[in-house]
Amino acid sequence: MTDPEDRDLAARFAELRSSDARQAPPFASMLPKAPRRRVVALPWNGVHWRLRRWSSWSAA
Amino acid sequence: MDRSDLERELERLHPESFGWALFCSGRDRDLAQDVLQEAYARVVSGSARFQGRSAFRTWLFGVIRHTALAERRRAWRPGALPVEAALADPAPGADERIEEAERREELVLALTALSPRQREVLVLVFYHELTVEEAARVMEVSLGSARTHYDRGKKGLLARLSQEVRR
Repeated sequence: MTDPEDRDLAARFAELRSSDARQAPPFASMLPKAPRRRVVALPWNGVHWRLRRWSSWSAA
Repeated sequence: MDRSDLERELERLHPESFGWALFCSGRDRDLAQDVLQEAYARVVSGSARFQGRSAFRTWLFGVIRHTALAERRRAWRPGALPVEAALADPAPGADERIEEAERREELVLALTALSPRQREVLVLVFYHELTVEEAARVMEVSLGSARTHYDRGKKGLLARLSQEVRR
């Protein structure tokens, strides 16, 4: 920008830009959250826990 | 680009993208945040896909612009710049000079007098330092049309600013 008027405008816009940048919210808060891992109920889920409970009952 | 590349690029451009979202949202900070969040969601989810036909920044600004137009249509918000919102700075630094704040106020008020197209092209060129050609791509207008808006807008803006100085 060689025109003095352009340089003046550019300087004014730069002031506004730096003021706006100070107001920018944190980037991380703007991102969508990653989709949660789905917990799939499978028949063998909890097998260990059930076996332990059964063995503690049978021992009693 | 995979998700981590996209996120890195978005983070690098984040302050600038927020500035552009502010202008696209009539300088309404809350709306700008909503717009930016929605635009990022579109980019990350792949519903807006970067094809490499232009610079990433040019493409992203187009996505933000489209999102803001859709949000404003949905929320029935007018396109005029609300001055109070435009000038609000919730956390001014201790070193902020009053003179600078006044100059910002003058600039935002002078921009309100321009047509939306003129405002857009001037913001893209002077605020974001895009070429007129890149601005035309973001605005989805021909280069000739962008040049016309640029010339008329600049004349109008300078006239307004010189009126402010004389007051």
